[in-house]
Amino acid sequence: MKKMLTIHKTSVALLLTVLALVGCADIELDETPPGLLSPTNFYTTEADFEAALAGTFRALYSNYNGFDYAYPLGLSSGAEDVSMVVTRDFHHVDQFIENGSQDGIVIMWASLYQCIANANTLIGNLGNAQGISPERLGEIEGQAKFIRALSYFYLVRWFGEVQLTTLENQKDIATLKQSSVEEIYASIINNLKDAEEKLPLSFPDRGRPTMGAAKALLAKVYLTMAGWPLEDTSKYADARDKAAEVMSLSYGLEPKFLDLWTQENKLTNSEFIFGFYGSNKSQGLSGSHLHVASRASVGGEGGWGDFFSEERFFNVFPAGPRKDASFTTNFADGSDYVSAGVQPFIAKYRDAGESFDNLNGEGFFVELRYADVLLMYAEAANMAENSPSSAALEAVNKVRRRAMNLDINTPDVSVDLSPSISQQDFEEAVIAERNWELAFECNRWFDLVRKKMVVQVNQSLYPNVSVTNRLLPKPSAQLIPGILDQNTGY
Amino acid sequence: MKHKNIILLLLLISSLSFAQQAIIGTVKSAEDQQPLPGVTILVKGTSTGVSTNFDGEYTINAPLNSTLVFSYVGFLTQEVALNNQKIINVNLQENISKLDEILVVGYGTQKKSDITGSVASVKVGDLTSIPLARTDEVLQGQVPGVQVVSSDASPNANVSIRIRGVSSINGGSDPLIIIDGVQGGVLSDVHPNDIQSMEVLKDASATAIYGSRGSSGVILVTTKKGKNHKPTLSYNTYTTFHEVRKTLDLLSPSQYSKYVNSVRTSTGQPLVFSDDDIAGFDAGGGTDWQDAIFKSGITQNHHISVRGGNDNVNYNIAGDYLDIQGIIRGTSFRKYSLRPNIELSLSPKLKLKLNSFYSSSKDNPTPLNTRGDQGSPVYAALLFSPTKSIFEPDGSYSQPGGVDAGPVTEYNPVALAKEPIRNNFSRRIIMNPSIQYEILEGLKVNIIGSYQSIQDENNFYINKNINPGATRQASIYNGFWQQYQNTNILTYQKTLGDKHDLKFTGVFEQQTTSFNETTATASGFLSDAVTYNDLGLGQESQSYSGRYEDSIESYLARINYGFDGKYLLTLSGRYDGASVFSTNNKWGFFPSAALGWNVSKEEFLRDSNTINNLKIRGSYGEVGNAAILPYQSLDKLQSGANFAFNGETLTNGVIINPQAGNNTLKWETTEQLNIGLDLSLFHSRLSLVADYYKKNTTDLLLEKSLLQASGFQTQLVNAGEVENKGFEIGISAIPVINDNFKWNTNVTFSKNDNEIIALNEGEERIILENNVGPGFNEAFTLEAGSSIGDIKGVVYDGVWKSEEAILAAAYNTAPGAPKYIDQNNDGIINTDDNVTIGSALPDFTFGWNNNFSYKNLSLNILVIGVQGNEIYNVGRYFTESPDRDGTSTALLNAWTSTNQDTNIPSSTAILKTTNSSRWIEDGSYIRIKNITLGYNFSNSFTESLNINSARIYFTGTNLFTFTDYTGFDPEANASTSATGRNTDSYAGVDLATYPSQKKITLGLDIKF
Repeated sequence: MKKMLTIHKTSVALLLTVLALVGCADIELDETPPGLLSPTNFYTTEADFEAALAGTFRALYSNYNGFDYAYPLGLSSGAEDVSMVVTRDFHHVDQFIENGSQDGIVIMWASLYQCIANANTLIGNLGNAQGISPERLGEIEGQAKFIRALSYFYLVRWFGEVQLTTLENQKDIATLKQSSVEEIYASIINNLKDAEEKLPLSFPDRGRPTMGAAKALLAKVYLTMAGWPLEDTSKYADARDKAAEVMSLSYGLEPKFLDLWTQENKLTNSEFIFGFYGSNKSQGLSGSHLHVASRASVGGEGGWGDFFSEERFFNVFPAGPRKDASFTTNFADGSDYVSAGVQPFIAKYRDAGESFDNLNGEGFFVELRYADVLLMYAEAANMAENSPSSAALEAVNKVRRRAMNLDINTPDVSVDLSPSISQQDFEEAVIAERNWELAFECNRWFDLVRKKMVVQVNQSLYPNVSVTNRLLPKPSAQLIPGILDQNTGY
Repeated sequence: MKHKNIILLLLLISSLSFAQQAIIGTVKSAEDQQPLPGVTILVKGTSTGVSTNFDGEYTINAPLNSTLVFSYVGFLTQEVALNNQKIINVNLQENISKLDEILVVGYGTQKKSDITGSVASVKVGDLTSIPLARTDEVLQGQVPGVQVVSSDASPNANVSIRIRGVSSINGGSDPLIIIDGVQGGVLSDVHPNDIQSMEVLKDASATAIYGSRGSSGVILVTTKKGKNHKPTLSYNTYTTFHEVRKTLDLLSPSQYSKYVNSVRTSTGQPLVFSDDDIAGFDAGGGTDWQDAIFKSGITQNHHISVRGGNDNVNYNIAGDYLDIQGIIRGTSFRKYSLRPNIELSLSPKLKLKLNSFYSSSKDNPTPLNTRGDQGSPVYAALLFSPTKSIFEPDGSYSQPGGVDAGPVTEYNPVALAKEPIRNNFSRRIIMNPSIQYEILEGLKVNIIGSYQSIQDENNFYINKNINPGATRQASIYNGFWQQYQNTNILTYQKTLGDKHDLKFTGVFEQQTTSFNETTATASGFLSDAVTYNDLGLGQESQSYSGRYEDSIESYLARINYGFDGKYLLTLSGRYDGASVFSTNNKWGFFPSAALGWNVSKEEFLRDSNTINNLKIRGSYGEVGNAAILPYQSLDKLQSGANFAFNGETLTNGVIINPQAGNNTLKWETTEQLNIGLDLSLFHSRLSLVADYYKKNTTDLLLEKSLLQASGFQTQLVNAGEVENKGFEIGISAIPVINDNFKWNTNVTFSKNDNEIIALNEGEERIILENNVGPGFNEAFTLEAGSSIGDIKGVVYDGVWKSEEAILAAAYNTAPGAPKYIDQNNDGIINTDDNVTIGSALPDFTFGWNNNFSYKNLSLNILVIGVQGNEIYNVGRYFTESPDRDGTSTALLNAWTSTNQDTNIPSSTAILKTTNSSRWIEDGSYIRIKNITLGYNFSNSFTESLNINSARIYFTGTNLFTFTDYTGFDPEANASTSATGRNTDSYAGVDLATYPSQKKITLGLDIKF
């Protein structure tokens, strides 16, 4: 009996101990993630804003979702310069059979808005900055506004009327009505003017937008506004003036066209004003992919052949060093594009330095370069002044001389345009020059649109093309009736 | 009066003429040959009776012409005529209806006849007659309403179990697994031989007690405890031989070279293969890549247990070794585990238990469903040019692309299988102590504590042999998951008067889970010497880490009331707080009520000879679901968005997290109505369990795509409603039973209809991520009125014929191109023409299990079937419509101007990769899943070897399948989304994963 009692006492004590132990267990239902940054305590220091800036730029250059890969070219492939492979669902824009559910359209829309939303967040939080000098803060703001403007510039050119967002209204996107094209351009200009004012002439990092980049982009924006759809010809003068401002800066043409497309020159050449630069560091986390996408999948080239040029373009392209540097016609195994049974391939993206795993290279995508500025100046001046000035002629002739590896500053009748050229002939000559000089750089398509040439240059090959195709369809999953509507004709 | 006298006289005479004789014998369970103590033995027609002793032995005095009646709870009563024999050994058969069987229910046990909910108990005896290494597979075809699908057939594959359909989209529809009271376990951790019982809780009355996680059903596993007898040693072993069940029909090197040349000719391109090349392939050159990566697999399993005990201590200690060599070169899985269960009775009122588990495994997997130079060898084998050899003359692996044909993104299949090192180690520990104490009579407290941990270490190294242009890379992933659970159960049971049975259960429970993970990667190794063992030798390194915690706190109460065993009532309520929801929505209350009527206990049926048992059950209740990852309600930023401003080094970047926070995130709730019937007839030789249910899940946890202009991609929201309704029937019968022969048969039938009733307000559909590839952007959607797992696409209508050239031109295409139905007649084929082209969910599933035993021989045949589902055959899409040069034999029948009567478009037609019904196939099948022939050695033989019992068996698995499906397997094809969540929406997609196998097993069970 006594033993029984002892056992009872022991068990009660044991029970009480266990209860005490478990009863004290500290269960916390409030979540305090130890490893996650919260937006409420970020965006204060300079390092925070620098990191936010890197994230904003990355939206346009990462994971095969931006200018690191072929989608921007795909969405611009309605021009003659670029053609897309049929089997990878890339060819719809090329052949004017696009719809709003295709990868390129869906992905580029997402990437551009990712960039904008992150830029909005950064810009909207600038008031919380602590311990940053006004100049540094201005530089950060200028870069964010530049990249936001660039994103909107692509959106408005590809898709027309889209939603203009800010940190405040992007949370209520379902009720934010799409803005008119005028409003979007007004916003782009505001952003760029602010950037132009706040950005320095140069950064140690070549991939940051500078004052010159803001001016050059402004020139391109004005020039585009002068054409379709706004057709505000007063903007030619603005474009000319902005281009002239860039020309007064320290940019210049590289003596040899070929040297522009080598990876080792990407950070040192005098011509690039703004571009995206890939890196093979960190196992290719921010690598370029255009090199593998643009190389042929035949001929021992080891590429994917996602995009290439077209024989119709190659055949009319003026011969010379520029043509040789723009196309790949002979392949690694000794075959050429004819014997391999394919189209001429694009040479501008081949060199990506040392790539990580073949896929993530040190290549680049140039958005703005000095030759473009010269041609913009020539075109805008001619249109604003109703005839080509000698400055306009000189601007385009420099580009033409360089294309033949001639001295840029020495007039040469074998390539120079005649000083007596008419305004219209000059305009056509500049647009053609842009086509050759800026081939495969997402230029020609936008020239065709603003000059209303989309149907004219394509109808013989694609009878289905119509003025509808000047704009792409917006991604069908993003449409909100009465708020964000599909473009006419889709 | 006169009659009675005559009877008495006769009895007297008989007892005089047949003198009483001592009869002896042993009674064992027919199932496992264990001696049965306490069996009642009566001389028929008398009140003379004895019981068997501890070793199942008895002695009874009876006349030699009399009949003995053996009866035992849970077993069929058996009569044996003595016919002058003096030694009568009897094997009792288990009673399949097991009326008074004690079932494990949530937080307690209950007599089967008292249960009001829908609870199925899996007979473990039946399971062990089939050699299955995995407990999750043994549920297949055995329980109505339970569907078991392997995601692939690799050695360490996941198995998905669905109870009564798919009720959640992002919250997970996996049932809650509870092993010995511990939540969150993994079924594959438990060896089938270690299971005492397994119960499946299906309706709300049964699962509401697990309010927080029971919405997709609950599976309760009770592992074997010690038994009160001298130590018994058991040894089970089997060896299984595997072969790939089916390979796909691909072009031979000779066919391929001719086909590729013909395509080049029709596109005006130069020929790839010369006549000499083709002659070489005709003579046997080239490679059959499926043959090259598949091999015979072999599985070995050894399981040893010691079980015994006395009044104070009971124990069952089991150890297990499993080794699987897979059918793809380089794949294997090996696991050691130990499960010691000990129970101490400190006093009649106080018990201490310690259940524990340890396992250590090594998995050598191969990647599945991915492409590229670290991709799946199966994908590559389907697409790599058969004209290439495995090795080049210099000994290196042949490479993709080149002047040769074939795709450029698939690498040498043999290299992909053999070269990368993937050593995944996993260690699991469960410690599960508990105390039971009877405070007063009827009042018990049970305190359960548990600690579980899973430590994963995945090591990876890849050399340059697959892709000489790539970099040598290594990575080490470490994940450490821990869970603490404390459950305190108070039960009070009392019978008031004669007829009022009352039981109260109150529970307080807490659970907290933590998980942290680290990945370190390095690349640019100068040599292969150290592989992943020294990441410091890599030139570039990167690391990532994450840390997560979540907690649940619960209070619950349950009342069971029974009146006279006839009328039963169960009421329960559970109040749960979960950390994963937003600040103001952490708590949810989940009640349930159930009624049961044991009709057969009423006067009018009590004496029925036909109906042994008839019970009608009904229940209604709500159950919650919190099975989501933590921190999803919060606004977050994301690191790692690095960018190279200077074109060389990266600047660390931070972005707004693509997943938006949600400050209204709350519980997903499933309401369920269940009406059920239990019937058993003819001395329990025929039993039926039938249930109808209707489950409505509201406030679905749903990963919604946000409008991109918001800057977010997705948000976890509560939205919409999904309904699952259906019925399930289980029939058990013993059509034949006699001394030598017994046939036991079991049929299960389940039908479930799934419908998405509504999505978010004002939202007609949600587009899910595309897990197939370009061109499939709107193939997977959720739409009101459709079902989870529906596949959308355009309808394939064959090939444009030459005489349709004008109409084809209107669609920007030409004869020979695929033709799709223009649903809206707008002259454009696009996603506006999408309709539902397939459904992953079957119309019904069934299982038919048969056990035949004749003397010492037994034969088990399990047939399973699935009817009325569709499968998206992505493997066929790859081989018939790839980026370059298809490999399917179907292409030999491709359209040409002279071969118009075909469904295979011209190989030169554009627009090939459209998501369409062309790739949809009927996924119905009937399969003889298992055939097992067993032989129990006779007692005389086993006694001569000094062992208790011995059995050998032979099993064939997946030997016969009847299906029209042309992929690897209609059964093992479930695939996941890229994020691994929301698998049910992709359940109909067959990504040509690890193929299933035919298996032959030889096994031996010995008890000492």
